[in-house]
Amino acid sequence: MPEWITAKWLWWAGLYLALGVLLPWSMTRSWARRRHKDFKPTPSRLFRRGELGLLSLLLALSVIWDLQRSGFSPPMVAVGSVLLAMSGIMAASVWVETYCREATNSQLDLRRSWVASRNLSLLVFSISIVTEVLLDRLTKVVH
Amino acid sequence: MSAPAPAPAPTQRRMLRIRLSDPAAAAAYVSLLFGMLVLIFPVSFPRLLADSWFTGRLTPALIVIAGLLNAGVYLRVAHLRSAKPGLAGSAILGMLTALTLVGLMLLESQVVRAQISHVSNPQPYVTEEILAHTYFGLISGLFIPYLFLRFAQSLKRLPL
Repeated sequence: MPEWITAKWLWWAGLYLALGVLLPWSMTRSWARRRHKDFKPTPSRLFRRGELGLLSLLLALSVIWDLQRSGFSPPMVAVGSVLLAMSGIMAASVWVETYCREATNSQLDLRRSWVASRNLSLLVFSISIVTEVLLDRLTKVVH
Repeated sequence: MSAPAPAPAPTQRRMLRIRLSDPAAAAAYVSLLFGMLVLIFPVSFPRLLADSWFTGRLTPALIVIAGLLNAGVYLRVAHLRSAKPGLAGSAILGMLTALTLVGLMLLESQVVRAQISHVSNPQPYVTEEILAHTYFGLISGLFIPYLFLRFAQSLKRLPL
């Protein structure tokens, strides 16, 4: 069995995708099947108000926490944490802006909110997963 | 005698306004590619980066890669939105890319110098530090210049 199959980061990424994205989507589908047969939920409709951005901020916070406890040098930890925090905040700001526009009846393009939150969440997710890979490597080098 | 037909007015293309989701997707793909390279070549890829760093070729190479990627994203977004890429915006983008990468690499050189003088067997640890720093530097070089440009555009309404 290749070494990376047993790596912690793979299970961590799978859990995040399963619990953060697939579980809400499958719950929506199950609700639609039971109560409203015409309703066809898709991820782009479920997360169209930028909810993925909020989820990304939580993900970034958990990776920052892991980074803070790692054996990397303090400047390195600072650079990684700032990058993760900035991308997480920008992803969450899509959700905030969509809410504000909706609440004040301002011009709102839900398609644009979905695309923005999806792209920024992809960025946060990819930074998080590579950071966890790097932390996994460092643990093996240090111990 | 009839009046000559008026010449068609030249179509005025609006200035390009950046959205952060534009560079985010490109940076995410680069990040995933970097992660794949680390997983597929777990020994040779970090060693290649460390060797390039010690010979002083890593920082210029990163500036060129990040600069080309940022220019590509900027021009592609301008083409998709039929907008005109501003000269000032392009210049600021290029300058911020170079500044971000040079700043982070200078920081890294301080860290590596300290590690080499303090740790008895620094090679594996220093390689991991260079690998991680290269990664964060590259992604910062792809994302932070756009972040500044976006804030400058939204706060000052500058024609960037």
